[in-house]
Amino acid sequence: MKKVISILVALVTVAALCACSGGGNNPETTGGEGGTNTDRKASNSVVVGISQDIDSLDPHNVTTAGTREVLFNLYEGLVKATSGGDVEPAVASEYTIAEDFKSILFTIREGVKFWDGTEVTADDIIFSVERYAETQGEGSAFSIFESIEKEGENQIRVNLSEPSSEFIYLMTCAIIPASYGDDPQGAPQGTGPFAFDHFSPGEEFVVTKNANYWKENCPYLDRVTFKIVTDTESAILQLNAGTIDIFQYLTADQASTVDANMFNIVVGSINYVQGMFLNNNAAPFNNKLVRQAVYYAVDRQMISDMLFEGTSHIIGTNMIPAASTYYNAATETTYTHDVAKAKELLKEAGYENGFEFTIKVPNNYKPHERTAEVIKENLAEVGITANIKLIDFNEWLDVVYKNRDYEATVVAVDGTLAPSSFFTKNVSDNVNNFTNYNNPEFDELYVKALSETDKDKKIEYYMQLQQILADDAASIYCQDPSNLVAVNSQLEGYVFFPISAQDMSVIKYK
Amino acid sequence: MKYVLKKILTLIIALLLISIVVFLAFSVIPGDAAISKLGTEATPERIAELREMLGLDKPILERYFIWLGNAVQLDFGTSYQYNVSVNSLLGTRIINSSILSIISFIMVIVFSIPIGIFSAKRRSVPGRTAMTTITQITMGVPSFFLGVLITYLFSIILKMFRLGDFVSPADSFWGACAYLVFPAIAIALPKIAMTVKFLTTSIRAELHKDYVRTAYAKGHTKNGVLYGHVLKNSLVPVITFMGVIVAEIVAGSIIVEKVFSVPGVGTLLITAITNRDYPVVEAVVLLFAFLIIVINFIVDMIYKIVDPRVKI
Amino acid sequence: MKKKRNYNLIIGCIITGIVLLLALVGLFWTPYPTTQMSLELKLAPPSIAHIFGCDHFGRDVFSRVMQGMGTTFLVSITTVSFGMIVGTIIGFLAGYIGGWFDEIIMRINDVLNAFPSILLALVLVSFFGSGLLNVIVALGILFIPSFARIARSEMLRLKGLQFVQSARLIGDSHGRIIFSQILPNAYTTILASAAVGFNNAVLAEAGLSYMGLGVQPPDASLGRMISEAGSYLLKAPWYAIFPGVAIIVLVLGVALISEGVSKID
Repeated sequence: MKKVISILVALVTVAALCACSGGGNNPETTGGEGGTNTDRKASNSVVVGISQDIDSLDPHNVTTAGTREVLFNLYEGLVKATSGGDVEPAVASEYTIAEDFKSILFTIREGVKFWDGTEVTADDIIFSVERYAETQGEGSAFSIFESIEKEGENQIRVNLSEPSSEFIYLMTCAIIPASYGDDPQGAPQGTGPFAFDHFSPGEEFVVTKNANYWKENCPYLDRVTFKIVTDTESAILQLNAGTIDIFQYLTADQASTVDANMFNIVVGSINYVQGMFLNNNAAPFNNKLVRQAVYYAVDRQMISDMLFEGTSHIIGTNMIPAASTYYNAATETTYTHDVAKAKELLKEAGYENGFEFTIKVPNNYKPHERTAEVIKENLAEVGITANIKLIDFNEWLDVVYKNRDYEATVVAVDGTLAPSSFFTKNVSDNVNNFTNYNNPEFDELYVKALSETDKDKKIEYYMQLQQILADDAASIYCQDPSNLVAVNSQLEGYVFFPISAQDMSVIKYK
Repeated sequence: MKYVLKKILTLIIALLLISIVVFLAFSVIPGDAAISKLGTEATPERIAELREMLGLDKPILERYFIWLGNAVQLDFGTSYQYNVSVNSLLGTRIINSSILSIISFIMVIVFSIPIGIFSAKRRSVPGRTAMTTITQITMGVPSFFLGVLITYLFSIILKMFRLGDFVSPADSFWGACAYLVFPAIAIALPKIAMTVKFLTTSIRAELHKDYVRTAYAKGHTKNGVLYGHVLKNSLVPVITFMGVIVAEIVAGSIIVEKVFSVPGVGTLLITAITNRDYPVVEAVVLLFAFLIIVINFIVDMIYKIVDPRVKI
Repeated sequence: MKKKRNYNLIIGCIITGIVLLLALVGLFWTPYPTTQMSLELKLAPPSIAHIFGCDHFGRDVFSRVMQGMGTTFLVSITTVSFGMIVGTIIGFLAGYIGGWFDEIIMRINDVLNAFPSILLALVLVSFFGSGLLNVIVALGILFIPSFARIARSEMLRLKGLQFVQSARLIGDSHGRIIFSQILPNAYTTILASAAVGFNNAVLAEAGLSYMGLGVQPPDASLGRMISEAGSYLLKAPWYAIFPGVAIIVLVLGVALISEGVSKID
């Protein structure tokens, strides 16, 4: 085996030596944009590797989590998400939620400016919130937004059609200039700690320090380059070569191949609910007993062990553990890996000899594919035959998500700071209820939870909602994997958020 | 002159044909740019709105003719995904990919012809089998592997280049070339093996011909026969094969571009297909088609020069 | 003259024979079930029990290579044969008839050549669904252009030669000229490119598998194994190397046979 490697290496070396002798290749001349780690320290800049391309510069029209993570550094709303899962004042300096939870009063921060130095006015804020509201559909949490109006010199009031204690979480929507018009892509403006410099599609997204930022001594860095590296193997090699400083979403296996002298591995969680989502209208998954049987048959610990070296948080409902206030940990053990029980339930449901079905898996994310493989093995033990069919993500959006033409699919769903965001997709008449889940009890409780103003009661309702999903085995919720981030050991301050965000404003050189 | 005119006419027909095929392909596969761009939180109204904005609601024939009208003026429209003009998106990528392809092709020529001749001269059975084995091993290594091996060896161990630190040729032409040498090795190595194999077979087939025996009988030396007669004749099929190789280099650099983080046309094509960004796909495919047809044309011309008996 | 032994053919047949035998046995029996997972054996290095080591699910790589070789051989040999036969017929006809017919055929050929394989695969998959057969069809179509070009240029080269001209003068039928004059003189070149094509088919199948368009997991093909192993290249190189060696052996066997066949006079 070693011989094979050495033969290959020798071949490669010979070819390269011949090739290089003509070119006079000198590595010193290839010092590109980023320079070495030490150069970057001198210029107070950082290169962050990101695995997804930026899909939009318009903060109100972002599709992917990858883009939200980056734009978090550029745009801010009246309030801004904190790493603790709450919100803090940003463009507004303070806010008061009305007693009836039907309006919120914001005081605009004095002297808050866009990157170009123009001051943020009430008109900008009204424009932004109204524009954002337009982009959100009827089924969304934003649909209870009624109006926004000026109150006095420097105050803004947001009115709601129904009482909601969670609406404040949605006021993180980005504030942009009213002069933005319809095409914000050309010349973006925002109020975040970093200002847009340039974007080369598929290559890099570069931001520089916003000198007008309202917070003192923030950000620390002068320049951040988000380098798009879609291939994880290549990203690991680029970490080791010193081309990039920060790269997230590594598995434990991958993290062990990163040079430990150059990088610290910081551990957080990815914050998505990954699992096998079932079409509750498709036979035999329209039978609750079958769904429960499948849940007993699936070995979630094995999935975590196989894919993430056992570092995932095993879950049992559609909620992330990081939302600790609302998270119902009891659901984790509603089902255990129990083959006998699964067989018993199948028998009861009339599927004693098992059945066959197809899992449609989007091909753009390896862990989903591998989860499906483990599930297939698990189900074989109880006599169920699962066939895996890999499809392109766009096909998934169209066929599975929009047209709900599937039996089962392995994907992950995420949410916002508002706890309700994890449950909207399970409300029977929601446009995005792609699992066709239908439980009147759940629907009723969801409405109650959303409008409840007493915090303890609210928590109680959300706990119940999670338990209902678990008891019904609405889908086979599996895990929230841990997120291993390689961070250049000269840097400090990396923090995790319960939403898609990579905050560069708190990162600094030691 | 008439010949060239005819060639240009057929080129245009071929490009038209391929543009239609790509359009049809996009009407067949599920998902479209609007769905792709709006993602999971899209409402049916917004999808409909965006479709209208992008012109996707129009019948396919109408869409095609609008596109065609602009394309003949070399305006390939705006990328759905990035909202910038396709031309600006392609500009630098074409240069990067071209440099990469050219370096790879030079490597193929420079190495495969001498090795091919050397290999053809091996008469002993073990020698031949050894040559076949080596070329086969080189051919069989997937370019992805070769890419990772090369980056590991030259970037991590030997530190000859820094992976991911590609400089645009606009900033430093030689800097870009120096970086591209390494991905070029990954692309060229299997192609060198293929060409060597092909050339060896071709030379050996030629050596069995009657005229070679005659030449020997007339007292020519082995090398005299080889370089004077055989090589020229055996290169004829190789030229066609070179055309195939060039096409493969152009199309086959996608994975290598990805591993070496080279912003090239190949990676753009893959992203554009998955995002259903068909203005970009159309432009890239047409570009490839144009290149391949022109290369084949050049091959035909060289062919005619090398072997004047051939009527094209 | 004493007839020399055709070692290429013999060795090639032996190698391919062994590969096929292994693949055939793999249909009915493998040392371990090909999908049996085991946590303890995850990425285990080669040992006596698992001579090729284990993959990222602790599955026995040797068993999977046995299974994968069959799939890969089947896919590659069918696609190349398809591409070669159709391509050669088209190329010969284009070269023989010439004129506008030639132009039209070769332009269609160019169009095919320029069409991205992934897009073609996506189209086929959305028509017929994903799976092995579609990969064979997609790759088969993709292999036509290169064979057609080579066959055409061989035809152009040979058409002008003395013996073909004479055959025409004698009044031999077109079919007879193509089959008894052109084909025997062109087949070495075509076979050489078939061996290269076989190699390309193996790698192309790997590429399509990587995109999720080929063999569906957990079924194994050598290409799929290699692309899976890519993620563990630094951590568990054996996982990539053994399927890689299997590919090389497979391709080598076919190449030696093709070389051997071209020697038979």
